[in-house]
Amino acid sequence: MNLLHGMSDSLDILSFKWRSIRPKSQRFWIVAAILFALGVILGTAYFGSAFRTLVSTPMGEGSESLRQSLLLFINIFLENNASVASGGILWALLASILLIPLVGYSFTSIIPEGDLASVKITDNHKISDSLFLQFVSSISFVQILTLTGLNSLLTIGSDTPGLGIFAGWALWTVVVFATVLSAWFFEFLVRKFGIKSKIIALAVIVGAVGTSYLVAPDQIAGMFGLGEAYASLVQSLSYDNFGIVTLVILSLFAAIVVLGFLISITATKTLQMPEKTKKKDRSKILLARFGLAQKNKISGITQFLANMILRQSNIWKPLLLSTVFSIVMSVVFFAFYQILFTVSTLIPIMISLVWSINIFGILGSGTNWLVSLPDARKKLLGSIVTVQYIIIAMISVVVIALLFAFYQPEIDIYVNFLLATTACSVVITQFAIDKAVKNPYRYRVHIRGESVLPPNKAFSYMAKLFVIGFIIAGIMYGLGGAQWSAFDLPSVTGQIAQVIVLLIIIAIARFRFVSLRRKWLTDTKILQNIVKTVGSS
Amino acid sequence: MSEKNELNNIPLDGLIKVEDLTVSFNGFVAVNSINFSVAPGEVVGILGSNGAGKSTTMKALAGIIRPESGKITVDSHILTNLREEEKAKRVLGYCPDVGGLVVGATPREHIQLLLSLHKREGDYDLGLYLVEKIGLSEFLDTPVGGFSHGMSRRLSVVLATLASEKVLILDEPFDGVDPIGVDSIEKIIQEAKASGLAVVVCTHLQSILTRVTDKVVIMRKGTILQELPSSELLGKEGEARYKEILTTVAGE
Repeated sequence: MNLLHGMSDSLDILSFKWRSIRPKSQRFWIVAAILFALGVILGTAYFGSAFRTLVSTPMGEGSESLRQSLLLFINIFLENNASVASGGILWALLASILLIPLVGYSFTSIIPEGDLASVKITDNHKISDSLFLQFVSSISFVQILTLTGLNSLLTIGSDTPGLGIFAGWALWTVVVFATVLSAWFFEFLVRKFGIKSKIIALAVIVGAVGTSYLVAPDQIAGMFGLGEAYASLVQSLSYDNFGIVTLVILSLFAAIVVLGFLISITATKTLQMPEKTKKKDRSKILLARFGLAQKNKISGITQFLANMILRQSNIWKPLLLSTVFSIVMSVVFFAFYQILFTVSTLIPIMISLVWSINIFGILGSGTNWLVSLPDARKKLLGSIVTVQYIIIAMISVVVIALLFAFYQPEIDIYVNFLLATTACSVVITQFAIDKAVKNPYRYRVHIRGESVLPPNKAFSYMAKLFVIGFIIAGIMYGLGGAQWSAFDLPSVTGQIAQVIVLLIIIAIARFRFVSLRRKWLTDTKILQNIVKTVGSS
Repeated sequence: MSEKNELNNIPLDGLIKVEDLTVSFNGFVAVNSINFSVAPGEVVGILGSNGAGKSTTMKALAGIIRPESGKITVDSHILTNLREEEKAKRVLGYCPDVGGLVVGATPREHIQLLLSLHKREGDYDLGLYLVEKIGLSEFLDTPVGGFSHGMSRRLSVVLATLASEKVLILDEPFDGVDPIGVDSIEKIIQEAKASGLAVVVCTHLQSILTRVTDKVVIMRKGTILQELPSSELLGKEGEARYKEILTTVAGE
């Protein structure tokens, strides 16, 4: 099987990549990041147990109300929300299996193909590389965290929660294999029948979801009963039900083997066909569609950068994916606060990851040219941040408009969403631009294929940004008296407090941006480092 | 009478003056106390072995990296602070050694941005003329990420030429360019010289460099070994002399 043959080559490439890490101290941080990620996953696995200990341990009088709230939350979750939450996560997994390959997948090797040109190696490593890169991608990390957290909560009443959590991890492995299979399958369709087949597939998926929504709008959140079935199955996994446990684990294992076999066949057939080259420069069509045809004069750096986003698929595809995801999650799940909370955080994170955090990698050696132009250095950081805010605003407006079209929710929801998204955007954008300037990453982005950040780096940045985003969103939604499932987070002084906190956040971020800009303009080491890192490669 | 640097006996007047320039990266001295000047209408070439500090010198001249010590004057602006750097950038055009283009943008967008920042939108037709001259007209709206190395070099030269009002800095402009492209770039340099621009060209291609420059500065390990008229490095004899300069000093 070519997948197995490829694994040996992939291991050699990985070993070579590991040995080429310089300085060697960098290896320590990579190991530390992996251990941290495993720690986070394990920590999430113990989420349910921690919750149970918390609610079963008598507390002092002052904390008794908190204990009661937690107890109420878990009861309501298990009785009413477990199937919807499971349905939601299953939808998200299905969406990632189908949509990631359809709109944003690229067949990058562990080492860029050009660097392997002088090495005698078959194409088989591309098959196992795709699997490896999907396993370590940031989206996979989010998937395993979500599944672990969900299963940990679902098995909160069980004496053997480990089985349910283990089943979640096995399901995650299936999802990764399925995503890779889907990616190779769509690539096969494109190479065999042309790019139109991808568009038709996307139309079929959107049509199917739309039809389901029209036919059974009440069933869609629970994924037509699958959410409930999943929740019951996970809850039933215990040593008493050894037969079910064996059946579930064997089924998932069999699914992995079958998917691996299918990946091998599909990828081998795909690689036998030449890559499809674009006949038309699609960017021209896109730019014209957005009213930015080339004959329109570039009036400054901001417009220059905005045009790049529309042209580079490795930037706009993940943005499109996160927008679709945000809209689907918000609309399908009736604008639950949990979803809006996630969307408020997700939008600025995704934009940061594909844009500002590695902006000098995107500009590449063009950085040298740009900063040699008068006033460009003064304007560059402001323009990068402006473009980021414009995109965040555009996506947020679309999400809000669709929410309004579907549900006409109360004004409080809009206010909370708007204020929390603004606060998250300000903080996350500042973090990203700070990182880009002070600690540029040695990874040049080309116009075709490659992601803006390699998976390991995207993953570590994403983890940090999620922590920051969740804290900020938590504060904002909390102050707004948002409902978090059964929690009625008390509104301190209503939305006035939210606005005050937002203004403080903006003031701090502004101060930090001004300091960063001053440093960027005056500290010679900063630009030298960027030029050395990305400009000269 | 022109001011002279005692060590190298180099006249230090001109549109570009480099005095005791030292540039280092994290303790590594890339350029060590070099001096030279370029007068209006003069073309100076920088030759040297790999890692000689040529491109670092060019970056410092373009105001991208700041010297650790010494002085660079471009059109009477001393590049020691941002304000002066920005003033100097208004009169200079720079072609970086590698790429120097934003892969996601088209040649037309590069030209438009450059003219917008130079506040010279009226020169748009001149930009199109230069693109045509260098043979890239049909790729005006193609993202440069799809360009070959030679095409990118040619466009970089065009952008530098378009930007330069008094000073033109070309780092490896001939690298990977076909013979027709080399001819076009040579013509551009000659026209720049005729227009009174101070031009600095850095390349490994000695034969081309000696053809297009008035004098040549030879560098090795961050220092200037010799400065001599280009005519002394012409032909096979010149080639032998260049090698001799490099190896003699290297073997000292």
